[in-house]
Amino acid sequence: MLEIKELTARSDDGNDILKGINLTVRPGEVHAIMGPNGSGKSTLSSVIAGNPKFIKTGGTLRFNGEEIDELSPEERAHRGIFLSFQYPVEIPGVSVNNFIKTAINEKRRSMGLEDMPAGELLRMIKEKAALVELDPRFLSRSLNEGFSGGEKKRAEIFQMAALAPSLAILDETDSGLDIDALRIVANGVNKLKSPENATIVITHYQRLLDYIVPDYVHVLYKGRIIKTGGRELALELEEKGYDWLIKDYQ
Amino acid sequence: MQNSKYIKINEDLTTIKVEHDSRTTLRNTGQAESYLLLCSGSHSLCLTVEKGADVTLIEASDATPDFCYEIHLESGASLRHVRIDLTDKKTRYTLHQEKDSRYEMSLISLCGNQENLFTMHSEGEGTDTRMCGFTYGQAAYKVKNTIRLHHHKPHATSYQAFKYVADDKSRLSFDGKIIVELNAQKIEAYQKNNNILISEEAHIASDPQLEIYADDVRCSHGSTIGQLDADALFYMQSRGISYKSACGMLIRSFADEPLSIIKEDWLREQIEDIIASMLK
Ligand SMILES: Nc1ncnc2c1ncn2[C@@H]1O[C@H](COP(=O)(O)OP(=O)(O)O)[C@@H](O)[C@H]1O
Ligand SMILES: [Mg+2]
Repeated sequence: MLEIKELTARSDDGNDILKGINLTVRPGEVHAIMGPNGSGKSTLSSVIAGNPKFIKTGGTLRFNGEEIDELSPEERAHRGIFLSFQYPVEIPGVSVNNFIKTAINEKRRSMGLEDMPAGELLRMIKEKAALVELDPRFLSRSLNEGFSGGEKKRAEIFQMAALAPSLAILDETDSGLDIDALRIVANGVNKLKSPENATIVITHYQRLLDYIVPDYVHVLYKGRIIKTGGRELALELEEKGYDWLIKDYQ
Repeated sequence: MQNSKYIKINEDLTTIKVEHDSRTTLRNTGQAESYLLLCSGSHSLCLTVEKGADVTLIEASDATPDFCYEIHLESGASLRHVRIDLTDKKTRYTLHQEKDSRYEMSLISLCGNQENLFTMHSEGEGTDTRMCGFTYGQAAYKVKNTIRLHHHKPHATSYQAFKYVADDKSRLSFDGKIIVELNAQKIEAYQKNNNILISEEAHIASDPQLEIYADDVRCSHGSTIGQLDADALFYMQSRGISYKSACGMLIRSFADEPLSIIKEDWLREQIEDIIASMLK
């Protein structure tokens, strides 16, 4: 599904951030990416989603066999990539409802489909909001404006549910969440899991991985994946920290 | 350039027709009322809103090259004034506010050359003056708003927010001044002009000013010039929203303050459609 080889990328102000990433994600899999702050986790997810702030300088980036480097972020989204932001952006004056309607219908148009009938859309939106226990009153509020940290993350997972991506990347969706919110978000993610879609969970803490059980755990450090293991690697990191792993890379 | 933008009025509004220089008094009927102002040719209107009356005045898509208003708000009167400019216009406004009156304006300019001069006087305690504007400059249109807001009496508030989007070779300017007279203590007056420059050939001039003679007041003013927020654009695009629609939504978001004064959905939605259609 996602195939990344020797990927290097820099920021638009000339910082080399990713220094040769290799990562293969197959349908049905859950991958966790961990690593200290500043390792390049958010950058990797930004590059996959097509953020123009970062420039790919080498390697290959394929999604379902297609090179996606040249595709705009919206084209990547239409092909099934979803990124839940570490810091969701506030958009005053644009309601959650309106935003998600626009996103869904633009995707449909890109596939040559008619807009979704208003009634069906409304039902679907309500159902997905219930899935992440998002209070329906949020739907008519401006997107992310004045939302607490937890509400923002819930709104992200709500959007993910409504857009039904085949590859979801969750960038520190757990940070700033209390244990209840964490459980709700994780539940939402688990309910959306299927043998056809895959999830990349970026996280600092092992605790999210108690709820979203990964098939693989990768440690990203200084722009490279320095270790890959199974679920037990996350537990080991929780216990021992990163020092034992990164000391060879200082 | 031919102007193809227009607003359809599809509500039963009481119409005030100005065919000559005229005087109109809007009375206190005990409930809020909305009026549509229609004028043709160059005229003037002297409008009085009587004590305690609560009215809305809507002006849209008429062709008036020059116009002169004099608006009097008697004590406790409230006027919400919505104006949509789509053609070339030169307008002078003079506003007099008595005690505890409230004036709220949304000035939307989407097409044409316009020059507006506002001279506003808060002449009673406890007045509230709120002016929000949105200008979308395209082609080689010039739009200039000049505001002179005088606080003569204490315990009044005023707020101005003008939002400009400058595209093509448009030239937009804001020249706003708040004047707080010596005995107008305990005033709160705010003024801001935010600008988004879309085209490098467009031009923005922004000059917010304060002239304060009283010493116990809270005033601030400021202006910003920037581009559409790249992080917000990427966020929206990553959800499958095209670059163009994302720009449109951000501009809609930018215009939220002036647009939210327009409570009439049928009117606001038409304006939103025009804004969306203006994006390239
Ligand atoms: N837009 C940017 N411009 C320049 N440097 C950046 C930019 N974004 C991130 N960086 C730098 O790249 C490195 C990786 O950042 P990031 O991907 O956010 O790490 P993580 O998500 O693992 O904490 C950091 O050193 C950070 O300062
Ligand atoms: Mg990060």
